[in-house]
Amino acid sequence: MSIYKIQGGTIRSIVNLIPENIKDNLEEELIPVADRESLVAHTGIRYRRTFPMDSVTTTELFIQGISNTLHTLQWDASTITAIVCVTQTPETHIPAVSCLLHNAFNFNVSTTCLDINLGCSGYVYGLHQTLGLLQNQLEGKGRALLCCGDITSKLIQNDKTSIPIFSDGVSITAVEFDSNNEDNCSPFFFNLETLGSGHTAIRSEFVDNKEVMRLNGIEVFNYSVQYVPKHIKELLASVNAEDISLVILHQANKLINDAIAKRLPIPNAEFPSTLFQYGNTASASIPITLVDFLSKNKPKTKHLLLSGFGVGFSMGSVVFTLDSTVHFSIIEFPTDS
Amino acid sequence: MTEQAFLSIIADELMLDSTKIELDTPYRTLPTWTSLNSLLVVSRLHEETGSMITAADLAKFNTLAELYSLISPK
Repeated sequence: MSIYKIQGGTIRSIVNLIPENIKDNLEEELIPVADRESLVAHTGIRYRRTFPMDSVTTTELFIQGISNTLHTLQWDASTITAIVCVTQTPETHIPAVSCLLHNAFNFNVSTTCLDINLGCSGYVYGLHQTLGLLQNQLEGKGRALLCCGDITSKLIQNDKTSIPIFSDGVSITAVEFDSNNEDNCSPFFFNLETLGSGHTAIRSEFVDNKEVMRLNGIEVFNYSVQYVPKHIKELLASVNAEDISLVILHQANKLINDAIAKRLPIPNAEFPSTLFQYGNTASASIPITLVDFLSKNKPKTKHLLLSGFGVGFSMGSVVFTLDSTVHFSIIEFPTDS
Repeated sequence: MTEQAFLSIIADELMLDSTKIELDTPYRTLPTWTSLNSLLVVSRLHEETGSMITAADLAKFNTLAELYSLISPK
Protein backbone atom coordinates (compact mmCIF):
# COMPACT_ATOMS: atom_id res chain seq x y z
CA MET A 1 0.00 0.00 0.00
CA SER A 2 1.00 3.62 -0.47
CA ILE A 3 -0.82 5.80 2.04
CA TYR A 4 -0.52 9.62 2.00
CA LYS A 5 -2.03 12.17 4.38
CA ILE A 6 -2.59 15.78 3.35
CA GLN A 7 -4.18 18.30 5.71
CA GLY A 8 -5.10 21.93 5.19
CA GLY A 9 -7.00 21.70 1.89
CA THR A 10 -10.69 22.14 1.09
CA ILE A 11 -12.70 21.44 -2.06
CA ARG A 12 -14.57 24.67 -2.87
CA SER A 13 -16.47 23.65 -5.99
CA ILE A 14 -17.02 20.86 -8.49
CA VAL A 15 -18.33 21.82 -11.95
CA ASN A 16 -19.11 19.01 -14.39
CA LEU A 17 -19.77 19.35 -18.12
CA ILE A 18 -21.54 16.63 -20.08
CA PRO A 19 -22.78 16.64 -23.69
CA GLU A 20 -26.42 17.51 -24.24
CA ASN A 21 -26.57 14.70 -26.81
CA ILE A 22 -28.12 11.47 -25.41
CA LYS A 23 -27.65 8.01 -26.93
CA ASP A 24 -29.87 5.09 -25.90
CA ASN A 25 -28.29 1.62 -25.68
CA LEU A 26 -31.69 0.08 -26.47
CA GLU A 27 -31.41 1.73 -29.89
CA GLU A 28 -27.68 1.14 -30.47
CA GLU A 29 -27.45 -0.29 -33.99
CA LEU A 30 -24.09 -1.98 -33.42
CA ILE A 31 -25.74 -4.28 -30.84
CA PRO A 32 -28.16 -7.01 -32.04
CA VAL A 33 -31.71 -6.13 -30.97
CA ALA A 34 -32.05 -9.38 -28.99
CA ASP A 35 -28.97 -8.52 -26.87
CA ARG A 36 -29.79 -4.91 -26.00
CA GLU A 37 -31.96 -5.43 -22.90
CA SER A 38 -29.49 -7.92 -21.44
CA LEU A 39 -26.66 -5.48 -22.07
CA VAL A 40 -28.48 -2.68 -20.25
CA ALA A 41 -29.40 -5.00 -17.36
CA HIS A 42 -25.87 -6.28 -16.82
CA THR A 43 -23.82 -3.17 -17.52
CA GLY A 44 -26.39 -0.93 -15.80
CA ILE A 45 -25.95 1.55 -18.67
CA ARG A 46 -29.04 2.71 -20.57
CA TYR A 47 -28.11 6.21 -21.73
CA ARG A 48 -24.80 7.69 -22.83
CA ARG A 49 -23.66 11.26 -23.45
CA THR A 50 -21.40 11.78 -26.44
CA PHE A 51 -20.14 14.66 -28.54
CA PRO A 52 -20.40 14.45 -32.33
CA MET A 53 -16.97 13.64 -33.80
CA ASP A 54 -14.59 16.62 -33.82
CA SER A 55 -17.27 19.04 -32.59
CA VAL A 56 -15.35 20.15 -29.49
CA THR A 57 -11.97 19.55 -27.85
CA THR A 58 -11.15 18.52 -24.30
CA THR A 59 -9.35 21.84 -23.83
CA GLU A 60 -12.43 23.80 -24.92
CA LEU A 61 -14.52 21.91 -22.36
CA PHE A 62 -11.96 22.63 -19.63
CA ILE A 63 -12.01 26.33 -20.58
CA GLN A 64 -15.79 26.42 -20.25
CA GLY A 65 -15.62 24.64 -16.89
CA ILE A 66 -12.88 26.92 -15.55
CA SER A 67 -14.81 30.04 -16.61
CA ASN A 68 -17.85 28.77 -14.76
CA THR A 69 -15.79 27.87 -11.69
CA LEU A 70 -14.01 31.24 -11.46
CA HIS A 71 -17.33 33.04 -11.89
CA THR A 72 -19.14 30.93 -9.27
CA LEU A 73 -16.41 31.33 -6.66
CA GLN A 74 -15.66 34.95 -7.60
CA TRP A 75 -12.01 33.97 -7.94
CA ASP A 76 -9.75 36.14 -10.07
CA ALA A 77 -7.48 34.23 -12.48
CA SER A 78 -4.48 35.97 -10.90
CA THR A 79 -5.13 34.09 -7.63
CA ILE A 80 -4.64 30.60 -9.14
CA THR A 81 -1.49 28.86 -7.92
CA ALA A 82 -1.69 25.64 -9.94
CA ILE A 83 -3.58 23.84 -12.72
CA VAL A 84 -3.55 20.06 -12.90
CA CYS A 85 -5.08 18.35 -15.96
CA VAL A 86 -5.93 14.66 -16.09
CA THR A 87 -6.93 13.49 -19.56
CA GLN A 88 -6.15 10.79 -22.11
CA THR A 89 -7.86 12.61 -24.95
CA PRO A 90 -5.90 15.83 -25.47
CA GLU A 91 -6.31 17.19 -29.00
CA THR A 92 -2.51 17.05 -29.29
CA HIS A 93 0.09 15.62 -26.94
CA ILE A 94 2.38 18.64 -27.33
CA PRO A 95 2.04 21.03 -25.61
CA ALA A 96 0.40 19.96 -22.35
CA VAL A 97 -3.28 20.88 -22.00
CA SER A 98 -2.57 22.73 -18.74
CA CYS A 99 -0.26 25.09 -20.69
CA LEU A 100 -3.05 25.77 -23.22
CA LEU A 101 -5.36 26.60 -20.32
CA HIS A 102 -2.69 28.84 -18.84
CA ASN A 103 -2.65 30.79 -22.09
CA ALA A 104 -6.45 30.92 -22.40
CA PHE A 105 -6.85 32.58 -19.00
CA ASN A 106 -3.59 34.53 -19.02
CA PHE A 107 -2.68 33.02 -15.67
CA ASN A 108 0.39 34.35 -13.83
CA VAL A 109 3.80 33.10 -14.86
CA SER A 110 3.99 31.72 -11.32
CA THR A 111 0.99 29.42 -11.91
CA THR A 112 2.27 25.84 -11.94
CA CYS A 113 0.93 23.68 -14.80
CA LEU A 114 0.94 19.89 -14.84
CA ASP A 115 -0.67 17.19 -17.01
CA ILE A 116 -1.30 13.62 -15.86
CA ASN A 117 -1.90 10.73 -18.28
CA LEU A 118 -4.35 8.54 -16.36
CA GLY A 119 -7.86 7.29 -16.99
CA CYS A 120 -10.40 5.97 -14.52
CA SER A 121 -8.17 6.38 -11.45
CA GLY A 122 -7.21 9.90 -12.54
CA TYR A 123 -9.53 11.98 -10.40
CA VAL A 124 -8.04 10.68 -7.16
CA TYR A 125 -4.45 11.01 -8.44
CA GLY A 126 -5.25 14.51 -9.68
CA LEU A 127 -6.71 15.50 -6.32
CA HIS A 128 -3.59 14.20 -4.58
CA GLN A 129 -1.27 16.14 -6.91
CA THR A 130 -3.36 19.32 -6.66
CA LEU A 131 -3.40 19.30 -2.86
CA GLY A 132 0.24 18.26 -2.74
CA LEU A 133 1.39 21.16 -4.95
CA LEU A 134 -0.37 23.64 -2.67
CA GLN A 135 0.85 21.99 0.52
CA ASN A 136 4.48 21.94 -0.58
CA GLN A 137 4.81 25.53 -1.70
CA LEU A 138 6.64 27.79 0.74
CA GLU A 139 3.76 30.22 1.15
CA GLY A 140 1.61 27.37 2.48
CA LYS A 141 -1.62 28.62 0.95
CA GLY A 142 -3.20 29.03 -2.45
CA ARG A 143 -5.87 28.02 -4.93
CA ALA A 144 -5.74 25.37 -7.61
CA LEU A 145 -7.90 23.90 -10.36
CA LEU A 146 -8.08 20.18 -11.07
CA CYS A 147 -9.39 19.58 -14.61
CA CYS A 148 -10.15 15.98 -15.48
CA GLY A 149 -12.11 14.05 -18.07
CA ASP A 150 -12.14 12.79 -21.60
CA ILE A 151 -13.92 12.74 -24.94
CA THR A 152 -13.61 8.95 -25.02
CA SER A 153 -16.05 8.59 -27.92
CA LYS A 154 -13.35 9.69 -30.34
CA LEU A 155 -11.26 6.62 -29.42
CA ILE A 156 -13.99 4.00 -29.85
CA GLN A 157 -15.63 4.59 -33.21
CA ASN A 158 -17.42 1.40 -34.40
CA ASP A 159 -16.17 -0.71 -31.46
CA LYS A 160 -19.24 -2.59 -30.24
CA THR A 161 -17.49 -3.67 -27.02
CA SER A 162 -16.68 -0.14 -25.89
CA ILE A 163 -19.41 2.00 -27.44
CA PRO A 164 -22.24 0.86 -25.12
CA ILE A 165 -20.06 1.59 -22.07
CA PHE A 166 -18.38 4.96 -22.50
CA SER A 167 -19.61 8.55 -22.36
CA ASP A 168 -17.86 11.90 -22.68
CA GLY A 169 -17.56 14.36 -19.81
CA VAL A 170 -15.19 16.60 -17.90
CA SER A 171 -15.02 18.03 -14.42
CA ILE A 172 -13.34 21.03 -12.80
CA THR A 173 -12.61 20.84 -9.07
CA ALA A 174 -11.50 24.00 -7.28
CA VAL A 175 -9.31 23.48 -4.25
CA GLU A 176 -8.12 25.96 -1.64
CA PHE A 177 -5.28 25.35 0.79
CA ASP A 178 -4.15 27.17 3.92
CA SER A 179 -1.53 25.55 6.11
CA ASN A 180 -2.42 28.03 8.88
CA ASN A 181 -5.91 26.57 8.93
CA GLU A 182 -4.91 22.91 9.25
CA ASP A 183 -6.70 22.49 12.56
CA ASN A 184 -10.03 23.43 10.96
CA CYS A 185 -9.59 21.14 7.94
CA SER A 186 -10.04 17.40 8.14
CA PRO A 187 -7.28 15.39 6.48
CA PHE A 188 -7.36 13.66 3.11
CA PHE A 189 -6.05 10.08 3.31
CA PHE A 190 -4.96 8.59 -0.03
CA ASN A 191 -3.93 5.15 -1.21
CA LEU A 192 -2.32 5.26 -4.67
CA GLU A 193 -1.28 1.93 -6.23
CA THR A 194 -0.52 0.32 -9.60
CA LEU A 195 -0.47 -3.19 -11.03
CA GLY A 196 1.45 -2.75 -14.27
CA SER A 197 0.80 -6.40 -15.16
CA GLY A 198 -2.74 -5.28 -16.01
CA HIS A 199 -1.66 -2.73 -18.62
CA THR A 200 -3.15 -4.82 -21.43
CA ALA A 201 -6.69 -4.71 -20.00
CA ILE A 202 -7.31 -1.26 -21.51
CA ARG A 203 -4.89 0.09 -24.07
CA SER A 204 -4.78 2.06 -27.29
CA GLU A 205 -3.29 1.18 -30.65
CA PHE A 206 -3.02 2.86 -34.02
CA VAL A 207 -5.21 1.57 -36.86
CA ASP A 208 -4.80 3.37 -40.20
CA ASN A 209 -2.95 6.18 -38.36
CA LYS A 210 -5.89 6.65 -36.01
CA GLU A 211 -5.66 5.93 -32.28
CA VAL A 212 -8.33 3.50 -31.03
CA MET A 213 -8.93 2.20 -27.52
CA ARG A 214 -9.18 -1.55 -26.88
CA LEU A 215 -11.03 -2.84 -23.83
CA ASN A 216 -10.68 -6.42 -22.60
CA GLY A 217 -13.79 -6.71 -20.42
CA ILE A 218 -12.78 -9.95 -18.73
CA GLU A 219 -9.33 -8.67 -17.76
CA VAL A 220 -10.81 -5.43 -16.41
CA PHE A 221 -13.33 -7.44 -14.39
CA ASN A 222 -10.71 -9.83 -13.03
CA TYR A 223 -8.30 -7.07 -11.99
CA SER A 224 -11.07 -4.93 -10.51
CA VAL A 225 -12.61 -7.68 -8.42
CA GLN A 226 -9.33 -9.27 -7.36
CA TYR A 227 -7.41 -6.14 -6.37
CA VAL A 228 -9.64 -3.08 -5.84
CA PRO A 229 -11.41 -4.32 -2.65
CA LYS A 230 -8.00 -5.13 -1.10
CA HIS A 231 -6.67 -1.72 -2.17
CA ILE A 232 -9.64 0.05 -0.52
CA LYS A 233 -9.44 -2.06 2.63
CA GLU A 234 -5.80 -0.99 3.07
CA LEU A 235 -6.94 2.62 3.14
CA LEU A 236 -9.83 1.85 5.49
CA ALA A 237 -7.28 0.54 7.99
CA SER A 238 -6.12 4.17 8.38
CA VAL A 239 -9.58 5.61 9.04
CA ASN A 240 -12.81 4.71 10.82
CA ALA A 241 -14.87 2.91 8.17
CA GLU A 242 -18.06 3.23 10.20
CA ASP A 243 -17.97 7.03 9.78
CA ILE A 244 -18.08 6.79 5.98
CA SER A 245 -21.59 7.43 4.73
CA LEU A 246 -20.92 7.71 1.01
CA VAL A 247 -18.73 5.63 -1.30
CA ILE A 248 -18.30 6.88 -4.86
CA LEU A 249 -16.72 4.21 -7.04
CA HIS A 250 -15.51 4.93 -10.55
CA GLN A 251 -18.51 4.05 -12.71
CA ALA A 252 -17.05 1.11 -14.66
CA ASN A 253 -20.13 -1.03 -15.16
CA LYS A 254 -22.75 -2.62 -12.89
CA LEU A 255 -21.12 -6.06 -12.83
CA ILE A 256 -17.79 -4.70 -11.62
CA ASN A 257 -19.17 -2.09 -9.23
CA ASP A 258 -21.58 -4.51 -7.57
CA ALA A 259 -18.82 -7.09 -7.16
CA ILE A 260 -16.49 -4.53 -5.52
CA ALA A 261 -19.19 -3.03 -3.26
CA LYS A 262 -20.15 -6.48 -2.01
CA ARG A 263 -16.59 -7.06 -0.81
CA LEU A 264 -16.19 -3.82 1.19
CA PRO A 265 -16.71 -3.70 4.96
CA ILE A 266 -18.43 -0.30 5.03
CA PRO A 267 -21.76 -1.14 6.64
CA ASN A 268 -23.32 2.31 6.86
CA ALA A 269 -22.46 3.66 3.43
CA GLU A 270 -24.49 4.32 0.33
CA PHE A 271 -22.98 3.46 -3.07
CA PRO A 272 -24.69 5.77 -5.57
CA SER A 273 -24.52 5.03 -9.28
CA THR A 274 -24.99 7.17 -12.36
CA LEU A 275 -24.32 4.35 -14.82
CA PHE A 276 -27.94 4.24 -16.00
CA GLN A 277 -28.11 7.87 -17.10
CA TYR A 278 -24.48 8.78 -17.85
CA GLY A 279 -22.50 5.55 -18.52
CA ASN A 280 -18.76 5.39 -17.88
CA THR A 281 -17.26 8.88 -18.14
CA ALA A 282 -13.69 7.72 -17.35
CA SER A 283 -11.87 10.04 -14.91
CA ALA A 284 -14.89 12.37 -14.64
CA SER A 285 -17.21 9.60 -13.42
CA ILE A 286 -16.38 10.11 -9.73
CA PRO A 287 -17.07 13.89 -9.56
CA ILE A 288 -20.14 13.51 -11.80
CA THR A 289 -21.59 10.81 -9.56
CA LEU A 290 -20.72 12.72 -6.39
CA VAL A 291 -22.42 15.88 -7.63
CA ASP A 292 -25.42 14.00 -9.00
CA PHE A 293 -25.92 12.40 -5.58
CA LEU A 294 -25.43 15.61 -3.58
CA SER A 295 -27.85 17.52 -5.81
CA LYS A 296 -30.62 15.01 -5.03
CA ASN A 297 -29.81 13.70 -1.54
CA LYS A 298 -28.47 14.71 1.81
CA PRO A 299 -25.89 12.17 3.02
CA LYS A 300 -25.92 11.21 6.71
CA THR A 301 -22.39 12.62 7.02
CA LYS A 302 -20.08 14.16 4.45
CA HIS A 303 -17.35 11.66 5.28
CA LEU A 304 -16.62 10.16 1.86
CA LEU A 305 -14.59 7.49 0.14
CA LEU A 306 -13.79 7.97 -3.55
CA SER A 307 -12.16 5.15 -5.51
CA GLY A 308 -10.97 5.13 -9.11
CA PHE A 309 -9.51 2.12 -10.92
CA GLY A 310 -8.76 1.14 -14.50
CA VAL A 311 -6.31 1.95 -17.29
CA GLY A 312 -2.84 0.94 -16.21
CA PHE A 313 -3.95 -1.01 -14.10
CA SER A 314 -4.02 1.99 -11.80
CA MET A 315 -5.93 2.35 -8.52
CA GLY A 316 -6.45 5.46 -6.37
CA SER A 317 -8.70 5.95 -3.36
CA VAL A 318 -9.20 8.80 -0.92
CA VAL A 319 -11.14 9.31 2.31
CA PHE A 320 -12.00 12.85 3.44
CA THR A 321 -14.79 15.07 4.75
CA LEU A 322 -16.46 17.28 2.17
CA ASP A 323 -16.84 20.90 3.26
CA SER A 324 -20.50 21.81 3.66
CA THR A 325 -20.13 25.03 1.65
CA VAL A 326 -18.98 23.31 -1.55
CA HIS A 327 -20.60 24.55 -4.79
CA PHE A 328 -21.50 21.92 -7.36
CA SER A 329 -23.22 21.66 -10.71
CA ILE A 330 -23.69 19.48 -13.78
CA ILE A 331 -23.90 21.57 -16.96
CA GLU A 332 -25.18 20.18 -20.25
CA PHE A 333 -22.86 21.35 -23.02
CA PRO A 334 -24.70 22.06 -26.30
CA THR A 335 -24.11 19.64 -29.16
CA ASP A 336 -25.10 19.89 -32.81
CA SER A 337 -26.71 16.46 -33.12
CA MET B 1 -18.82 -27.73 -7.94
CA THR B 2 -20.33 -30.68 -9.76
CA GLU B 3 -20.29 -30.96 -13.54
CA GLN B 4 -24.05 -30.63 -13.53
CA ALA B 5 -23.95 -27.43 -11.47
CA PHE B 6 -21.26 -26.03 -13.79
CA LEU B 7 -23.31 -26.77 -16.92
CA SER B 8 -26.38 -25.30 -15.28
CA ILE B 9 -24.50 -22.00 -14.66
CA ILE B 10 -23.26 -21.91 -18.24
CA ALA B 11 -26.77 -22.53 -19.56
CA ASP B 12 -28.22 -19.93 -17.21
CA GLU B 13 -25.77 -17.17 -18.19
CA LEU B 14 -26.00 -17.98 -21.90
CA MET B 15 -29.80 -18.31 -21.79
CA LEU B 16 -29.68 -21.83 -23.24
CA ASP B 17 -31.46 -25.09 -22.47
CA SER B 18 -29.09 -26.97 -20.16
CA THR B 19 -29.96 -30.28 -21.85
CA LYS B 20 -28.49 -28.91 -25.09
CA ILE B 21 -24.96 -28.39 -23.80
CA GLU B 22 -22.35 -30.88 -22.67
CA LEU B 23 -18.83 -30.70 -21.29
CA ASP B 24 -17.31 -31.42 -24.69
CA THR B 25 -19.24 -28.58 -26.32
CA PRO B 26 -16.87 -25.98 -27.88
CA TYR B 27 -18.09 -22.82 -26.16
CA ARG B 28 -17.34 -20.49 -29.06
CA THR B 29 -19.91 -22.35 -31.17
CA LEU B 30 -22.73 -21.65 -28.74
CA PRO B 31 -25.15 -19.19 -30.37
CA THR B 32 -25.23 -16.79 -27.41
CA TRP B 33 -21.47 -16.81 -26.69
CA THR B 34 -20.80 -13.05 -26.97
CA SER B 35 -18.20 -10.88 -25.27
CA LEU B 36 -20.77 -9.70 -22.72
CA ASN B 37 -22.07 -13.22 -22.02
CA SER B 38 -18.55 -14.61 -21.66
CA LEU B 39 -17.96 -11.92 -19.04
CA LEU B 40 -21.17 -12.96 -17.27
CA VAL B 41 -19.94 -16.57 -17.22
CA VAL B 42 -16.56 -15.51 -15.77
CA SER B 43 -18.26 -13.28 -13.20
CA ARG B 44 -20.74 -15.96 -12.11
CA LEU B 45 -18.09 -18.67 -11.83
CA HIS B 46 -15.95 -16.34 -9.75
CA GLU B 47 -18.95 -15.61 -7.54
CA GLU B 48 -19.73 -19.30 -7.07
CA THR B 49 -16.22 -20.73 -6.79
CA GLY B 50 -13.77 -17.87 -6.17
CA SER B 51 -11.76 -19.01 -9.23
CA MET B 52 -10.79 -16.54 -11.93
CA ILE B 53 -10.91 -17.53 -15.59
CA THR B 54 -8.80 -15.11 -17.62
CA ALA B 55 -9.20 -13.79 -21.15
CA ALA B 56 -6.06 -15.76 -22.02
CA ASP B 57 -7.72 -18.96 -20.74
CA LEU B 58 -10.76 -18.34 -22.94
CA ALA B 59 -8.56 -17.72 -25.96
CA LYS B 60 -6.42 -20.80 -25.28
CA PHE B 61 -9.10 -23.38 -24.53
CA ASN B 62 -11.89 -24.76 -26.64
CA THR B 63 -14.38 -26.86 -24.69
CA LEU B 64 -16.46 -26.33 -21.57
CA ALA B 65 -14.61 -29.28 -20.00
CA GLU B 66 -11.38 -27.28 -20.16
CA LEU B 67 -13.03 -24.35 -18.40
CA TYR B 68 -14.47 -26.74 -15.82
CA SER B 69 -10.99 -28.08 -15.12
CA LEU B 70 -9.90 -24.54 -14.18
CA ILE B 71 -12.51 -24.12 -11.48
CA SER B 72 -12.82 -27.64 -10.08
CA PRO B 73 -10.55 -28.68 -7.21
CA LYS B 74 -7.47 -30.59 -8.37
